[in-house]
Amino acid sequence: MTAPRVGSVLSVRDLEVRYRGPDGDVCAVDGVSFDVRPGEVLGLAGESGSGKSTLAHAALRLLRPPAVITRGEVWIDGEDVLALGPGGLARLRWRTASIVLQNALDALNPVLTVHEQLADTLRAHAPFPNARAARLRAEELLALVGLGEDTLDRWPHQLSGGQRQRVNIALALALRPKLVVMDEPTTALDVVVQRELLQRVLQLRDALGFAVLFITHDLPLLFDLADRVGVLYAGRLAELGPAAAMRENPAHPYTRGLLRAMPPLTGPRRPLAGIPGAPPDPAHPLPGCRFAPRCAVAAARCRTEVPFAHAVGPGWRAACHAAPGLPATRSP
Amino acid sequence: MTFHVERPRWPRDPRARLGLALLGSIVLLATFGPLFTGDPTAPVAPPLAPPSWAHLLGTTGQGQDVLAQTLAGARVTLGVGFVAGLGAVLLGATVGAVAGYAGGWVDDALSLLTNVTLVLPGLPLAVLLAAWLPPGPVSLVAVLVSTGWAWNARVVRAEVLQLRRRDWVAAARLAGEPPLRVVLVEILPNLRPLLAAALVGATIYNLGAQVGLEFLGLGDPGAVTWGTNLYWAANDGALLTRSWWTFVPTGAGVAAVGLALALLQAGLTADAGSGAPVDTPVARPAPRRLPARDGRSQETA
Amino acid sequence: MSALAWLARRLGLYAVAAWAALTLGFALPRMVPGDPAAALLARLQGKAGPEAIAALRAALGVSDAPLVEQYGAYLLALTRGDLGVSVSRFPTPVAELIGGALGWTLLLAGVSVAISFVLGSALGLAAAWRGGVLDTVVGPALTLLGAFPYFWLAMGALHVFGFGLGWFPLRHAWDTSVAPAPTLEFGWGVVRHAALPALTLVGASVGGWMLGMRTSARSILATDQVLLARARGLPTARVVSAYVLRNAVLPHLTGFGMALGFVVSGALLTEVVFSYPGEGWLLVQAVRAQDYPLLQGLVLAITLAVLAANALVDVLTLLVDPRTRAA
Repeated sequence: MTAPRVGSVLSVRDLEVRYRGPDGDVCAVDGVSFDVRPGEVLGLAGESGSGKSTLAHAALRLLRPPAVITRGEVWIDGEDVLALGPGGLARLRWRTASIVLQNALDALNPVLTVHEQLADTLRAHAPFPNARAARLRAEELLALVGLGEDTLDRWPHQLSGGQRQRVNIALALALRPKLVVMDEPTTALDVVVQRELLQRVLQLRDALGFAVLFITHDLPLLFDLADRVGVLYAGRLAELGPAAAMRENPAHPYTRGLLRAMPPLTGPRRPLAGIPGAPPDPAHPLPGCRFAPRCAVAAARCRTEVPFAHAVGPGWRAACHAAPGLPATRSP
Repeated sequence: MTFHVERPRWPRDPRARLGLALLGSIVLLATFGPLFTGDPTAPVAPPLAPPSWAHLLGTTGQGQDVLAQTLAGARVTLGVGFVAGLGAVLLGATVGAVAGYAGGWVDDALSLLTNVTLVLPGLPLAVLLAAWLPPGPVSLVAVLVSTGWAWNARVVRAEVLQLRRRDWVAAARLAGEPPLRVVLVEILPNLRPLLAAALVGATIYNLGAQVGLEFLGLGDPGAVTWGTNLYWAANDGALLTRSWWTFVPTGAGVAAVGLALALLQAGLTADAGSGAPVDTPVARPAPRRLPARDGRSQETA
Repeated sequence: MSALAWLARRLGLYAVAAWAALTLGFALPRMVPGDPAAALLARLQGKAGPEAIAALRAALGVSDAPLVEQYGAYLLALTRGDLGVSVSRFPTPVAELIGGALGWTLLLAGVSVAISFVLGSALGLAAAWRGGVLDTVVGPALTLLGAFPYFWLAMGALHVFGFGLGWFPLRHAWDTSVAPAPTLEFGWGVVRHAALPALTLVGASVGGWMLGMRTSARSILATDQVLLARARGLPTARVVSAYVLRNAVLPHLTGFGMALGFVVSGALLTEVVFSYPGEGWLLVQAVRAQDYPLLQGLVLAITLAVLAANALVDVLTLLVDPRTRAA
């Protein structure tokens, strides 16, 4: 196992998350490792059930039991997240790292105004001399995400879906964190609103310098948005590499399959192809590579031996026996 | 096409099992107990005698055996409670199903009726009805059903509105099956778990309301039921004479049935939602290491 | 739907319910088979004076006038607050008897419901948040207590704490040895007399409120907004009060109206046990004396009071929830 990378804002090492149940555990995240560097956008893509949302929540210790972290390490800005007590986590969360969730309406308290919710967050971490100062700061935050002062005294139900998610982003940026985890923040929005919102996130990233861990099921969106992209399959990281290189020449058969299932926006037309089969049942894990039953190039070895991450290029690795390149570290 | 219906199973929840066992024992006692205790109305000993070996639970103000009265009362009270519960569920389910399935003005009218009945307080209304009907178990059932059906109607209507949109129901309707058949064959079987819970709830309500009405003197004072037992206990000065045994056994019986039904109800309804948010537990303590400057890890003390 | 339209709908429902209740009071005596009115009149012929019989005839609808005319006269009388004349306490008007008892019922039921609602909701919120002993011991214990009939608990409490230990007065609502005046001494007597009935009412009903709030709070606790409020580092007190409680109390209030009917019914029966001179005690007098005018007046008054309380709760809901407030 490699050590947490120096200078990473988030280091995840060999992380395993399980859901305890009466009929045994279900392993949702199985030995995932990656780093998010300061100011970068790292995208993680995966189908539903791939463990991407579990991973996003677990990184901030926000999953409730029966979920439990059973192995690995999480470091945020030099702090050992899995060793922190409630006090340490309360300091870490929202000053250093924050999160934006998919359902913007569920994420806001329906009986408090936007201002009350922003002020609650600001006051929880720093005393404000008076109500006026808190209000001015709340106004600044809303201006950051492109919302006017009139939004301050509204209730969530009076806002549009896009406005609500902007409020959630303003809340996430309230304490100038170094890392913002975004779990499918735009999935519930229509395409035009989605583009505007992501444009705004990138502008703010450039201006404020925070890093983003962006979780989505939408791989083409990630290639447009992220600096580096990871692909999760059945709780394991199949491939992780620079967005541009990976889009051109994916190394893992699953990534290739995902890309073939989507129409290219530019270039010649080609027939679309889905990936036959369905993801495995996480309650009954298979030996070997989990993608093997659906993989066109699977060999006998793939069904018995778990593939470790191979370096396929600089900063680029794929967990596939058939991937090009040399075996690198024993990091999965 | 009712393959989507789950077959009723012995409940897994321990509370439901305990409730069923308790309820079963009480029903057995009520059914067979009176065979061994003799005539509950016959004066057998001096009035208000405390519990003794001859009369395990003492005697009433009329010198009747309290144990015999409690067991005999259980029969009538449980019977009326269950029959009225069944009636309230059937009436409520019918009104709810018709309203939910028919829609339009039929739904508007029936929903208004349901909501009006729901906001009217049950006991005063039941008192008014009972005062005008001849006293007895039949009147009690009628009064309890007519004041207790509305909640079931509301629940069933909401569920039918959901089911009506399902594929197999839509298919049956488009195939030209008569509405009554669609409701009876396609929709009602799916309501079984809901109706079971409704029956438990309605029986709990009827038990309390029934005993309350009889305690007010609106039952048949000549009959032996749990409610009239308490009515006579109060009338014969149970408190003044400090003869606790005339009202404690009956109350314990009511509470035991109520508790059994409450357990059953709690066991049949899933405990939804969650507790307070907490930090994700870590099952294995994380190794105490700090990220080192040179990229390698180092142990700390 | 705008807030005012919603409120108008609710108030409309209560108006229809009130109309149904008073029409039932008119229709029942005229509808019951076997003419119990005539039988009752025959039975009372020797006992009651001719004026009392006349009052009863009017209430029972023994009249030769057409039904519509009778109904009109009935409604007209009601608008004047005229509920007829009591038979058992002839010639006291029913409205006067009800008015005299109303204060005591409002005092006993009002205070008990308020205490029980606040206490039960607090316990339910704590049980949802913390679980533990509240969930495994206190909740089931209060459910067990709630399984007993209200009036039976009252009998038990009176037996043990009144007759046995002598801690509380045995009956009535005030100290008869103290002159009824706004003095501290008289007030203390009122408190002492209300204490035990109120305690039994709270004991019997607190479990229901607790269970209701627990269910409601658990569904709110599962939402993202609570998870995020904690993740943002808000103090626990703020999370519980503004993010959990304020949301959980809304569905809880919606069920308040129906639950109120149960509790008021329980309060009426409890009054009977303690001979507490409220509407419930009056009700049992009316039943035993077959005083139908009084009985009908009482049922109508109690129903209207419960409907009014419902309307009040609706207005309250409107003030708590911005979603209904905003157009």
